[in-house]
Amino acid sequence: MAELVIRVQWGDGRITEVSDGGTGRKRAITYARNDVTTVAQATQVGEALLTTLGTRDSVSIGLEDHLDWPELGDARSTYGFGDTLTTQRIVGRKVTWDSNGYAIVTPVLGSPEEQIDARQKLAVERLATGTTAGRSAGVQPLRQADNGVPSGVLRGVSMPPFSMSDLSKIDTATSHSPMWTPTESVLVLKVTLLIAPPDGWTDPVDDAIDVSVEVNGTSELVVELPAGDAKWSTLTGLLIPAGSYTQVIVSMGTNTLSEWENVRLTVEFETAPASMRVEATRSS
Amino acid sequence: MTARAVTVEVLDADETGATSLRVDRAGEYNEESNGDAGAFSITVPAGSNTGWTSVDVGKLIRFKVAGTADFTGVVEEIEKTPRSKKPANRQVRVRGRDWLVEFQDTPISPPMGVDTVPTAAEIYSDWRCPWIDTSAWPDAVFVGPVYHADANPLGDPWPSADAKPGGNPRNYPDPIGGWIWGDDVDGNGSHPVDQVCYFAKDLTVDAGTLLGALTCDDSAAWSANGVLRERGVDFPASMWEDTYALGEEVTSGTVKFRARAVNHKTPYPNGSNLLNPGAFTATFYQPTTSTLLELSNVIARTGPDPDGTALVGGGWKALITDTPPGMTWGDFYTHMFDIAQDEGYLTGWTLGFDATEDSDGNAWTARDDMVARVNDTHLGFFKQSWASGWAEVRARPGSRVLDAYVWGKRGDFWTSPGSPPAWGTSNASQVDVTRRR
Repeated sequence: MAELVIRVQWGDGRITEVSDGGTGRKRAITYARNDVTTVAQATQVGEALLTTLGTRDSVSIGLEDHLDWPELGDARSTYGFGDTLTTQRIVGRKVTWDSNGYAIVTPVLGSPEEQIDARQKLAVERLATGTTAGRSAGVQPLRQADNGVPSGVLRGVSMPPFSMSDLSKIDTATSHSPMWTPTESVLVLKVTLLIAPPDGWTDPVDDAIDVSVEVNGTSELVVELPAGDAKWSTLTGLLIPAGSYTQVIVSMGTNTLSEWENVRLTVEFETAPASMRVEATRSS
Repeated sequence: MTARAVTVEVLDADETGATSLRVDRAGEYNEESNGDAGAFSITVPAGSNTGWTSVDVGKLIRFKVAGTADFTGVVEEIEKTPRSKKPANRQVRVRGRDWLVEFQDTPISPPMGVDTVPTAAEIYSDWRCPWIDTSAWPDAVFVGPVYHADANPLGDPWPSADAKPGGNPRNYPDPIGGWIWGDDVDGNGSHPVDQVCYFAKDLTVDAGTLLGALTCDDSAAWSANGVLRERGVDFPASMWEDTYALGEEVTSGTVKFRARAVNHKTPYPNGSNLLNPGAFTATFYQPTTSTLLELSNVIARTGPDPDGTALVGGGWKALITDTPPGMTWGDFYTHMFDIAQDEGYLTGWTLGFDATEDSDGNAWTARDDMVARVNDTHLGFFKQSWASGWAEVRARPGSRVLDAYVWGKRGDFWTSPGSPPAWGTSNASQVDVTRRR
C-alpha cells in the first residue's frame, strides 16, 4: 500500500507532515489552512484528514423494466468492485426510455466510505478552525484581522482639576478659579469634591459648600458638598463646548470663613469626548 | 412486465396549458442528490400530433412514469429544424434542467433584506445571526453602575457598593450606564472563569448615524445586523478599562445588535477566583438633537432596570450557555426563502419542511457553522449544504415544493436496513464500478 502523507500548510508558511505509516510509494496531499496556527493543531488536522482518505467505490447500474423503482437516498445491495454484494446508497439516477417508451433507469450508487466523506471533511474543517478554544467553526473568522474594523478605543479627553488652597480667603465675588478653554467638546460625567484639611482641623459642620461650574459666564452645574462630608461625588451630563470659557466658583454660604483657614478644596472631573472618535491603535 | 411507460408533456411556466409531447428515443433526465439541478434532453419530431410547436424556452417539461410525475424541468435551450428536404430531420431538440434550477435565478439577499444598512456580505448561523430568535433568552441581570458616585444627575442617591466595584472605563460617555451579565455574581463576587455570555438587543433607530460606546470585562465581540464589528481581545488583555466606539450608518427600523462576552481569568494568581465578575456595558446614541453625545441623544443603554424602558437598561437579553447559539438548517433556509419571496423571487414555491423537522419528519439539529454568501445563488447554497453535510434538497416533481432532508437522511440508507433489496445479476443489465483513491 502506498504511504499516504498529509502536508498541512498554514498562514505563516509552515508545513507539517502526517503519515499513515505505509511502506510503499509516497503519495502526498497538501491541505492549506489559514486558521491553523500551531504545529499541534496542524498535526491534529492532518490526522483527522488522514482518516477520511481511502479507496472509495461508486457503482452505476442499468435496470431495465425493473419492479424496484429507486428513490435517491435508499439503500440497495449490489455488486461492488470485488464482484460481491455490498450495501450502497443511491446518490443519482438517469432515466431513459426504449423505442416503445418504457423506462430504463440507471441508478448511481455510492459506497458508505464515499458517503461519509463530506461529513468527515466537515469534521476536519471544524478541527482546523478550532473548536477546542471554545469557539465554534462559525465564530472563528473573528480571528481574521480585517474583521471588526469599525470599532476602536475611544480617544481620551481631559479636564484639569481645580484647587483652592485656603477656603478662608474665598471671596465669592472675586475668587474664581483659573479659566480653562477646551480645544474640543468635553462631556463631564462625574464631579468629585475633596476637602484637604490641615492637621488637627475639625469640620465645623455648619453649612454646605457649593461649587458652581460656569461655562461662558453662565452657571451650568452646581455641586454641593454637604456639611460634615470631606468627599462628595455626583454624576452629571454636562457638555462643555469646544472653545468655551470654563471656570469654577466656590460659594462658602453661611460658613464662618475663619474656621476654614488653610483648608484646601479640590474639584476633580471625569470626562469623555463629546464626539465619537477612536484611537488609531488597539490595546491588543 | 411492469410496463413503466414514460410520457412527456410541456407546460407553461405556471404549470397550466399542458400539451402532450411525442418524443423519440434519444432523451434522458437525471436526478442528483448533491443539491444540483439535474439535466434533461428530449427530441420531439415534427408532426401535427407531436406537440413540437408548443415547446419554447422557459416552459416546463414534465416526465411521468406510469402516470405519476417523476421529473419536471425548465427548458433552457431549444434547437429547431423547421425545414428540411428530409422530413425526418424536422424536429426540435430540447435541453434544460430540473426545475430546481429556478433557485439558480435567485440571489441570496442580505439577512435584513436589501436597502438596509449595515448589511452583511456573509450570513453566519452563529451568535451574530440576526435571524436567531432571542425572545426566549432570559433578561439581563444588572451587575452594577459604570460610574460610582454619591448622587446621580438628578441629585438622588446612587448605588456605590455593588458587584462590579472599582474604577470606570476611561472615557465612558454615559454617566448612568450600567454593567450587565447573564447572572448574579457568586459569593466571591465573581462569575466563572471563561464563562461565555451572549447578549441581544434590537435597537429601534432613525435613518442616519448610530453611535455606540461599549466595553466588557473582559472581552466581547459584537455585531450589528450580522456584521461583525469587533472581535474582542485575548487573555491577558482586557477591554474594560477602555471604552470602545462603534459607528454605523443605519437605515430606519431595527438594528439587531448581538454580542458574545467572555470572562477571562485574572492575570494574577487567583486560585479561588475572587472579585472577577463578568460585565458588559453599552450605550447607543443617535445625534438627532445635536451632533454631540448628549443625554438627550441616547436611544438605549445597559442599565439598572433590565425590565424597564430602553433608557434605563430595558430590553437586553443575556444567555449564559456552553452550547453556542445556532440555527437549524430548516430555520436558516426558511429565512433566506422568505426574504427572496418578499423580493419577488421564487413565485409559486413553497417549502416542504419547517424550522424543526425535515421533509421526512426528522428533527434538524441547531448548528452554528453554516454560512451563506450574499449574492451567491440559492442553488449554490444547496450544493454547499450538501458538500458541507448540512442538508440535502430536491424539488418535488409534481408541484413547486422544495423538500429538504437532514444530511444523509434522505431515503432509507441511514436507517441501515439489514437486508436492503438486492440488485443482482438477474436485475441489472450492466454494472459499472469506479474506484478512487
